[in-house]
Amino acid sequence: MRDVDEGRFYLPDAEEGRRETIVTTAVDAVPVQCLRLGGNTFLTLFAALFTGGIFIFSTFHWWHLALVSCVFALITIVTWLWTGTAEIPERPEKYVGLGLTLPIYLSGPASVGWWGMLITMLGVVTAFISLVFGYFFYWTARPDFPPNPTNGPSVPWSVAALVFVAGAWLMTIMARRWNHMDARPWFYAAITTAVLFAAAGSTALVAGPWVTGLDPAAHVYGATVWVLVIWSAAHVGLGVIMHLYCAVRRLAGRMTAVYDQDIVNVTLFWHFVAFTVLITVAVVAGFPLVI
Amino acid sequence: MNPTTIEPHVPDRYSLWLLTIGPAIWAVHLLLCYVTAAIWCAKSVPPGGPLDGVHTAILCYTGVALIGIAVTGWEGLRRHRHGTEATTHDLDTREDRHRFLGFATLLLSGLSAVGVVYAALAAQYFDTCR
Repeated sequence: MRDVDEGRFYLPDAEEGRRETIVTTAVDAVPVQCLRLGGNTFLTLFAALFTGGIFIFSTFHWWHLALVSCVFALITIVTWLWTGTAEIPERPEKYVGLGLTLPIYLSGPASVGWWGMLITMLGVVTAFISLVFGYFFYWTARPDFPPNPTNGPSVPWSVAALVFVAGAWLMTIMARRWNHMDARPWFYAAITTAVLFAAAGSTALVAGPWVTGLDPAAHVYGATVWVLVIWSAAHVGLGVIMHLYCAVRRLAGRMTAVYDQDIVNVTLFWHFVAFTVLITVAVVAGFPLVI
Repeated sequence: MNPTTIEPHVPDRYSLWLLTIGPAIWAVHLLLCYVTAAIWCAKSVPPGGPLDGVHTAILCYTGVALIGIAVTGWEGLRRHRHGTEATTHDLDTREDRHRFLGFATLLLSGLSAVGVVYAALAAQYFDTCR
């Protein structure tokens, strides 16, 4: 205890007045990073309140309030991200005590942010797979699934959606690469193209069941298809917000070729978005063709 | 004291992934059994039809799953026995963590094998889709 009191271990003091902790490897606990964390803030509380409002207002069918709550939740969360994450340190490394100097900023699989995104997306994919399971459950449980004659999603629109989203995904990968090469014009061009592709992809996704007049209230088939399509389109939309966030961060100098955690994590998110859209199109547009 | 710099990421010598293989095989086996029986009963035979083909398929799945779990468990046992017979599992050393993770892998493999056998037994008790 006296050793601790006298600061004889790692991070004995916070010279910069920042909240810091040591990141280690999972099994052997070898220190790999001195991670700076966000400080005290009410933003997290507001983010939780506004996010909760989306669900609470929706329960009572107060759609306008739910939408307002959604917008405020988005603003709060983006503000929180902007001010509290991926901050570029004043120097790359820091002496943490006991003869050890560690990097302050890491990106990619070496960073906790990348793993946070990966674990979050594994949870999201689990929820998505349960929706896909619902489609096939009804296929086995009901002889009229899909109903005959069916007005399922338009195959050309669905395939177009897949092509556009694949384009957005590839452009996101290129944006990460060009950002890493410090080719700023190419980075902005790739982000802009990715946003346009993503907008076209989500529009085409929704157009698939829309143009054929698939009614979500008429049959469980329509409801299931619409849920899968809306789920995918919403995630593409979220990906667009992330694209724009990265572009503004780069413009503001809060993301650079070296300090690129934002675009690296967004690229990881887009890997999952591409997978989600691929499965959705294969199920809602491809599966009825092969049964 | 002179500051020294280490590499940004030092990979763990003994991965945690081995722990997940047994339960993952168990999950895949359960999923395959469910999907096979569901599609067979819904699309291949009339309501209340026989489960003949499903029994054979589940036996094959079970055999493959048990082989996979046995291989994983064997690797766990090998790690568990790393060192001498008198070695420990609970000290703050790399070797102890290695043995501990091996033992945990062995136990999880055993649990997974029991789970796989239970799923296969349940399928064998039913003769029809009813």
